[in-house]
Amino acid sequence: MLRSMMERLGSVIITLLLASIVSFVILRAVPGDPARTVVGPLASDDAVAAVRQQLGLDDPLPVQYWNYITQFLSGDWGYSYSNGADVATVIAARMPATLELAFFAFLIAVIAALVIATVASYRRGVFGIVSKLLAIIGLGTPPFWLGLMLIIVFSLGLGLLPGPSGRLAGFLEPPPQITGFYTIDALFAGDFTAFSDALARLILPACALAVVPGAFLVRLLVANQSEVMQAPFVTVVRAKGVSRWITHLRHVVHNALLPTIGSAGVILATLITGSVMVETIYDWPGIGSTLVNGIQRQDFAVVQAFILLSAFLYVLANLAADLLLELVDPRLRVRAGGVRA
Amino acid sequence: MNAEQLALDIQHLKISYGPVEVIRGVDIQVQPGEKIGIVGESGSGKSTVALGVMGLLAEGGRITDGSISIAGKPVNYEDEKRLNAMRGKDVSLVFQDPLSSLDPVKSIGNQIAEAIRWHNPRMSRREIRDRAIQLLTAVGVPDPAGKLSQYPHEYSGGMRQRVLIAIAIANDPAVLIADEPTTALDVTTQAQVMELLDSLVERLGIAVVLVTHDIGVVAEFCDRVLVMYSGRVVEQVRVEDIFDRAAHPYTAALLDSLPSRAAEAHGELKWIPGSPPPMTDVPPGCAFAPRCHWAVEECSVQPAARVIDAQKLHTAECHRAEEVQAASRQAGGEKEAAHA
Repeated sequence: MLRSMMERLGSVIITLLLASIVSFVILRAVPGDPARTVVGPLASDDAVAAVRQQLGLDDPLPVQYWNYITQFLSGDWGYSYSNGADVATVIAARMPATLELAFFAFLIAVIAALVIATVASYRRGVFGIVSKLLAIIGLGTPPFWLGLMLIIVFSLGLGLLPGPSGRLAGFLEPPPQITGFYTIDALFAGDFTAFSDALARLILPACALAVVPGAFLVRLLVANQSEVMQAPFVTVVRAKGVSRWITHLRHVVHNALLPTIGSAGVILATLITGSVMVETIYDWPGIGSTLVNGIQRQDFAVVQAFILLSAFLYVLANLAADLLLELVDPRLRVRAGGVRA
Repeated sequence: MNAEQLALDIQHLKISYGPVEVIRGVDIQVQPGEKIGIVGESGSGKSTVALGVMGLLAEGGRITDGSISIAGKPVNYEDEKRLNAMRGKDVSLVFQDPLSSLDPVKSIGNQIAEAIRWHNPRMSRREIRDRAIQLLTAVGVPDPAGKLSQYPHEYSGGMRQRVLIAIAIANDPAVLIADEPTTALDVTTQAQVMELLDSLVERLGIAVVLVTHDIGVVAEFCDRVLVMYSGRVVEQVRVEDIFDRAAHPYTAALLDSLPSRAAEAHGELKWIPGSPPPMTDVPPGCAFAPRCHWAVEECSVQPAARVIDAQKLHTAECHRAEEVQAASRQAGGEKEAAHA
């Protein structure tokens, strides 16, 4: 037990270290000069050189990396070259918006995928073909295009939902921060106007973000379910007199769901990459849109912190998935209290 | 024979998968408490008959002709609701591979309870639990109360097969269909499981249809044997008669290829030359004719139905049944002479 925990921790650290090195090198291999961004286009070359010197951009890469990573670990995530803001502060302020969006997208993706995949593999025939088509289209649809389409149809066309203008209407006060989720905080504060507005503004971006992971899950769940349906134990359950639908819900879905937990990391990755585009389109004040600005301005510190954070979350998601699987899969469950006779 | 009394009455059953007819007119009658064995090589259709009776044919399979009655009641295979009420109550199934026949993520207690609850919706949790413990005790699982919360992977192969038997007898069915119940088990466990099954069905008066390729198991366990070939029952015979009164050349050939008998009789392992015809292209007449050294011209025109004994318990589909039987007798007699 202790040994496997240590092994896991070791692989987590190695993964994060590699992610930091790769992202550090790639960022600096991109053409352009952040010193120029800092001093502005009209400054002299000498001024640029001086800033380069000051920022340590002339040091060899390993030295730069060492300086960066030691500062990062001590909590100093650097500051933005473009506006001087402290990166850690910016990310802390913008994180809740992204988390709320990703959380709702995740919920939508999981629930929709479960329903579609279960009905598709139970009914097969037309349903199976339609679900397969939906999954292929969903996986191939760029979230930013879908985001725009949703705005055009539901906001501009039907006027059902608010347009792309952030998390809350301008005239509403954000609820006092407890979880950082506007919807939940508004409920805590008993502010139903803010709650319904925050929820209405979440729906479109969350749906746009949910499509890729949702389609991925549909494919995975349909494949898993049709495999489990072939298992002899399904025939045995049916031979007890249990109807086909109940057998499917109780045994097939349960067995098909377990291996899906292992893909939590992939789901998270689609949510992170998707959030970058979706947030930009919906003017969502999260870290995804911060990243887009950071890349455009060669804000090393911002981009680097985003990448490291994403890597950390990815590793965390995989770790959590492993632990969850051990909890819910009896075959992996570590028995407490030693051997049972 | 009165159809009302039969535990299982299959009349002229035909089953097709898509356009291919795999069961080509099968009649099986099983008395209450009787144990019959269906033997035949893989592809002969013996498992298909078993699944057909359960109404659990794989996708694409359907009953195209004939009728099936269980415990005197004709079964309507179009009526899913009635089928669900019948499965596990009037007829139950013990499946081939105990390793994959239990849901790996549900506890044993849960899986036994499922079989009880479905047919006894009024039973309380407590009563269901007591019944489950009683069933596990009946099939000889030690410490049944403690084992209820365990999962299939914590059970050995033999114990899992006992659990499956417990599930199958949960509602005292009239008929229990066992499809290769011991094939995946080692020989010792196999013997124990068959012994257990034997004593249980004897006590509860359950009729058993044992589907197997193992004539040895049939000879020890069953009252009557049905030999299947290419989707037809080619011979049915009382188990005590099979070794020296076999009237169909295929039965005789199957017996000849048993390792122990073959060694005794000829000193070397005999096999049946050729292979069964593909079900897409079964020849007219007797399907075994192309491989049969008894075959005469009319065999490839139409099969013959011969009743060998007065009680109609021994039938064979062979034009030369009497001659084949005489040869079997002689072979049996020779052996006895050799023993003496």
